[in-house]
Amino acid sequence: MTKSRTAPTTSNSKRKWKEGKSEKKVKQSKGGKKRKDTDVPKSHSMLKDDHDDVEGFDNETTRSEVVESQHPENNESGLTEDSDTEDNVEFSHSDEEDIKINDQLTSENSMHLSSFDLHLQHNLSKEEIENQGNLKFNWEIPAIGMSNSKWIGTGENILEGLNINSYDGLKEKLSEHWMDVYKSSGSKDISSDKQKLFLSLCNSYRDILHCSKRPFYLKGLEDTSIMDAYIMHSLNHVFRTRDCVKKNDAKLTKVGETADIDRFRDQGFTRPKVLILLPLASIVYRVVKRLIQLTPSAYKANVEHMDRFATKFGSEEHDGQKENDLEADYAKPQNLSKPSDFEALFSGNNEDDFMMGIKFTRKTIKLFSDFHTSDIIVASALCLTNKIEEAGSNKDKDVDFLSSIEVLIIDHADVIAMQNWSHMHTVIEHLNRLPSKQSGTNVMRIRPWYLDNYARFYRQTIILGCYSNPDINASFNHQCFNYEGKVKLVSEYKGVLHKVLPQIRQIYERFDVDSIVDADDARFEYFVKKVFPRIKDSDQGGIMLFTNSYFEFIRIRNFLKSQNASFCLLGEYTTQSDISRARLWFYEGTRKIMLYTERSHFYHRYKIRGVQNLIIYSLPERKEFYPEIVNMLDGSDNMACTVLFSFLDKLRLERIVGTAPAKRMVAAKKGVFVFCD
Amino acid sequence: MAEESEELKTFKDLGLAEPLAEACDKLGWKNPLKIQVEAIPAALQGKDVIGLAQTGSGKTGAFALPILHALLEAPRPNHFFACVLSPTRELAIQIAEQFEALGCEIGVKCAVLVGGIDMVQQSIKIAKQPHIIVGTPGRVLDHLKNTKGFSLSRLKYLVLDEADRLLNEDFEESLNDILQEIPRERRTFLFSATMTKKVQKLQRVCLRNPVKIEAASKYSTVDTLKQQFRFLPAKHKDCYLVYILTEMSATTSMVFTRTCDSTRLLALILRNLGLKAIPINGHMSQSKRLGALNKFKSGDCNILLCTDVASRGLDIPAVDMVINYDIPTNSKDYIHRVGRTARAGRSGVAISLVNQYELEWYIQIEKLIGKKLPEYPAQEAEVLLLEERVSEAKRLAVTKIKETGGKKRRGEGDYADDDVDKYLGLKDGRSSKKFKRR
Repeated sequence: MTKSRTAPTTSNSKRKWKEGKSEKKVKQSKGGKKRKDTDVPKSHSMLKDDHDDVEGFDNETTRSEVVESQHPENNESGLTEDSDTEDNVEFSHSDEEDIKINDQLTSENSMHLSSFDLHLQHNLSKEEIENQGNLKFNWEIPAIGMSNSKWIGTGENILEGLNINSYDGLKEKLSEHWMDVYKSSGSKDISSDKQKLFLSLCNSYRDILHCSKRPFYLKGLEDTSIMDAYIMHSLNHVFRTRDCVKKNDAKLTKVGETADIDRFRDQGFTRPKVLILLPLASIVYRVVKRLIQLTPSAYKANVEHMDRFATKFGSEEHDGQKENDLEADYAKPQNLSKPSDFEALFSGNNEDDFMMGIKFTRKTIKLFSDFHTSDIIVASALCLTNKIEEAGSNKDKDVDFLSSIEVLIIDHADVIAMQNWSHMHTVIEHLNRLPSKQSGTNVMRIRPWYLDNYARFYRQTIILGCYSNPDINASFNHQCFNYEGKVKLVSEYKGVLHKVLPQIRQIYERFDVDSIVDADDARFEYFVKKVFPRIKDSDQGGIMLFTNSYFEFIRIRNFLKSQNASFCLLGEYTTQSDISRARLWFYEGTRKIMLYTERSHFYHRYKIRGVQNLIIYSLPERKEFYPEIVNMLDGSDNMACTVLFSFLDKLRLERIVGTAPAKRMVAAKKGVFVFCD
Repeated sequence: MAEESEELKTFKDLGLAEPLAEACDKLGWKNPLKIQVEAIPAALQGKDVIGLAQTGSGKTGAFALPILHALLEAPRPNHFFACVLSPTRELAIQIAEQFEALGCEIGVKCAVLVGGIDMVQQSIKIAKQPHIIVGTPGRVLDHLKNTKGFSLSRLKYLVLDEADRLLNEDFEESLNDILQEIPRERRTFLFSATMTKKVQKLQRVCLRNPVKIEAASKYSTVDTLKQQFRFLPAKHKDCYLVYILTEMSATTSMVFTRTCDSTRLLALILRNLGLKAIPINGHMSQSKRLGALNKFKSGDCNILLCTDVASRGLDIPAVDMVINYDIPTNSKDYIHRVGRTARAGRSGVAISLVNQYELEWYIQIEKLIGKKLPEYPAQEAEVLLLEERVSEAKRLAVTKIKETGGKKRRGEGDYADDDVDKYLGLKDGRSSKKFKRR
């Protein structure tokens, strides 16, 4: 009887949580409909156990559960460590918190069923899966704290009327600790609206593409708010998962074998739930250090392997102060020539092949834990791709730890794109597959949607970067299937033309393209027919050809070879000595043309001297590079540069010339534009 | 006989629930077969049942229907309600299919736990809480040990199908271990085509006051089966086989041999002669075995060359002829082999090719079935006309096997000359009859 009484209230709470927006929403009414079905004798399957009173059951036993959970020995699931015998003080403290929440729960008719529970307990229907393909971004809302930007999303507008000041989804203990950290660090604003909004977004369990994040390495204020938000979200997810499992363990020992086990399905195939993909070891160092900082002290009485972590991921600067002093005189002046953002990004540990498991036990954070039993995995796409390949060729190895990722966070996607996005593609493809080996998880506790191989529909993907490109967009649009929907940030750009020296004339020439398939050929043809003749016969040297991708670089190299042109190469695979020689030749005029790629600029930031004529074969993805490259013309005779573009380059174009001009340039009848301010 | 009056009974009259009777109807089962008539009411009363029935008599229905009936009436939750153990993978898959067909109306979930198939996929099936587990003892035990959360501690029904074979040395140990994991408080059905001492022992251990049902007299073969033999010299065996198969070219036939390798060799010979033959044996992987079986079932190939792996339980409809290329040393196997044809009231032919070395076993078979069989009529001269072509085909086949590396066993190269060798090596060669099961 209790069940039937409490069940409707949970569906109510769902409604309330969604701000009571509308009764007509399919998802919300589903709860009610289901329940009706159970009253009528089932015609279809008489043997099917009805799971619909699961939530009701939860409420019913919340009180008794508190008593049970005081036995730390109950770790059926293997999620808690029993090796460390603990003083129960800390543990019972956390119980008190539970009691508080539980009291609230029962008194307010379970108003606070968290978004975590709502997301994971959802029963995905066939229609929802089929509708995956035709989701439209149908709402938008201005992004707080960011000018010229707005959030657009599919499905319901979750942001409308959302009270961003309530940390609804966060565990109380986590948010309290967060506040403390902010206070003690003396920061003025405890957390900005922008951050709160982002946290709320994370908490809504939608896929997020945020590609206007100001990275830490660019000049200006260090902006950690987004990083903090996703770390909090990850911690929240991990701890809620743990709470849920512990609670069910306790209940199960109480009700014993006779229980209908379906109520207690709360796990995945394997333990890792959060995967954070980062480009460089130095960034891992930042993120993980912050993650430890933001973990409430009750959970981190001990952090294991901190030393190993510092040696593996920290840079020499942080640890070996002495070493640094010795090298200081030697290293500093040389680096001064590089821009400050380059310094900030690459001065640390530049390792890009790493992987680390982080495991939270009752009071300890274990770094470098075994991947299969970690809670969070921090890795580079490169390392994971290697592991995936190994598993493919070697039957003894496996990547089953990727099977149950529920939150995927890709930070600094732009830097990863500079490394190699195809690894990322491989990794995302291999997430949420059925495992290849028996994992030792109690199969009766595995959530039904894992068994149905629907896990990818429950994975939340958060992609963060300072710009987006077609690769990143493609991954977001075609590799993320979250049933909750997607949210992405759309920004208008002011452009970076004002950073270019005023005397330089920038001539933009548009070539026509029919489809994306022909884009490369069309660009090449335009170059061969229209641009190359102009430079072929001129005696003037100092022509720099800038390309965005390595493929274009190769293509032009081959073309120049075939034309017996005088040129030198500066690509990403050119050796250091060849680079020096090329720069010298180019400067002295022995070689007339230099080929340069965006990626080699990204990794080296050379200041090329002797540039007389700049031809930008394709625009750089990174808008900061545009003024840097163009300003290399400073001191040349004619101060002119030519840029090739097509309407398919709109994303890059708008970041450089600004959104409004880019629109005009793409649509205008005439194809040549000159900027000269 | 009494059958006449029982023939008129319907499934509903046996006391089965409405949806089950309907399911039978849909499957085209008009009236219950003899063993079903006897076993179902006893089972529905909650008794343990021992069924001695020849193959093709509807055993599966006899235990599946009462279990499904009980499942319908059981209070929830009712996963891992029944477990069926069978000696071969194919049979297990077939039983599960039967359960699903009968239970589709009531939404019954089955899991097949057999070797040769991915453990993870099976554990996912287990996690979905099936009502019925069907499997081979080795794999079921493997899951009981290694799949966390899987236990049979709430099992209500245990079925031991083909119990005589479950009890041979391969399975005995696993079976004992499984019995340790199963509650004493349960119903047990034991089915066997033959009653051996071991089965009787098992009966004493597992069953309580069982109702014993014998659907047929001991070791008999069905009346619609025409059985013949041909006494011939060993070197002409291939020739006779080809002769018989070409004489009866429009029929589906199963040819039983003693060893896995000879199925392969014979299949190649027959193929070289333009016959559509396919081998199935224990050396093949599970998927290949299923593939071969499906080809035979679908009619792509009309000759199945098999070892005793296929002699039991497999329900292949419309096999017209069984040829015993090698005479089974265990006469009970003969019953199983010829039981592949003339199933469920159809007619069929069984021909045994007996050479000088096999005479002794053949006589034992005649003793067991209690009749003298007529000789297969054929003019030897006519048969030997084929000799040249057959030996050419054989030469090609042997070359091919040598090329592909053959199997570990040498010897099939000089098959005919080595016949004596082969049979002399029989005592240790017995192991070739067993199949790898994991």
